[in-house]
Amino acid sequence: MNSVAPSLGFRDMTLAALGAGMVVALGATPPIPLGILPVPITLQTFGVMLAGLVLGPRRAVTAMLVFVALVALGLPVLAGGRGGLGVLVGPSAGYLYGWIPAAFVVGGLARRFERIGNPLVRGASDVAACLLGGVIIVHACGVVWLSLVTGLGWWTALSGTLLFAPGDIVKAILAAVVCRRIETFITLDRR
Amino acid sequence: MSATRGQSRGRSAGRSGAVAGLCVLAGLGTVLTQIDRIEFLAMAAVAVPAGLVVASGSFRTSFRDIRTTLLIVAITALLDAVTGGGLSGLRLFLRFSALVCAAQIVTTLWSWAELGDAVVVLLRPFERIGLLDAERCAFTLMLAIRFVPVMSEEIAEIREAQALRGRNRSVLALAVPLALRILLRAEEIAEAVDLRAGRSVRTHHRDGRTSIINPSLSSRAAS
Repeated sequence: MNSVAPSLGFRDMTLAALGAGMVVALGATPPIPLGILPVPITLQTFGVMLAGLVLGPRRAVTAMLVFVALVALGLPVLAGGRGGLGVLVGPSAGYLYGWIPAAFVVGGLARRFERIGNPLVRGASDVAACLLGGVIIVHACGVVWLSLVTGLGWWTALSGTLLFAPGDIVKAILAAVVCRRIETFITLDRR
Repeated sequence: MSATRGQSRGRSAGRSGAVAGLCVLAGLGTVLTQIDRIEFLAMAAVAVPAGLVVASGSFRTSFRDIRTTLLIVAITALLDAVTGGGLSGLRLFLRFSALVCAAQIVTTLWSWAELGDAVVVLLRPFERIGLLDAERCAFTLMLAIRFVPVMSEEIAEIREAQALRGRNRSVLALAVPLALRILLRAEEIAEAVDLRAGRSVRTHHRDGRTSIINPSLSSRAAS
């Protein structure tokens, strides 16, 4: 790999591409509808947290950038077969953009928590990383975008987003458990 | 990937068209957010969806992809109308439905391969100031697109295997093997790219001459 700049090697690029592919594939699994709201609970945010936990900050961010680019190219990669530039300018686009910093935060924290020896503490801190990155940051970006772009009141926007909090917490725990299981099979190097 | 290259429209023509389309879209977005007069917004909200119907050829297919987004727009506008004034909600609805339809026009008119090329062109300035490598971005993008069908095959395989064991409802039983397979496959692909791209490989044909941009980069090596 001498000709490749040390910044992002082929291994990082393939891992990022496959991470994006994983998020796409998780979106293709049937979504769970949530009453009257048009945004169903999907496994895709779970994919974001998992990508952060498994790939590490830089690769996960690249994966999310690739994913957003796939949406922009008009491929039906979002849950329910949505995609296209129309999604990226819509009022709910902030959640999608939020995946990029979310993946970075989850990956960065997971990398920092690698040193923790106690498996219970380690699992708990992974869950905390997912909650901070995958839930709080994603929703913050979503709410900020919604209220800046549409001029909706902050509290109105925030109350709409709270509906998804329970599902997201379940997903955060799930992502941490999956990551622990993976680490019993192989050693992950997060970058 | 080679199938999309053989389209009737020239690849470079499609690319410059897509670049222009993206620029027009960005301009329209800026203009639409600045306009507050309701009659102008209404005009845009009628004209742009009409343009979308013309661009895609049929009424039904044109709105199929943006149905959900338009619904979200409508609900947000309703919320705004209830909490604020009715007029601001209407304004929001008109503005966003026009914008979403305009974006959908760009998506219908150009294929993803052309839009991908356009993205590379638009990324070039960032490359100049040393932020990123446009070719490398395109490579990662193509790799991701190439692996979407592979990924869904893997998911189907895992699901079948787990269903045989009676564990088809569990997310854990899907996610753990999926992530493991992805990691192992990424190692394989990275090795294959390294091995095959040792010699100089053509990445793009430009104006009849062969440009070797980065000898170690080839989208062919990944297939």
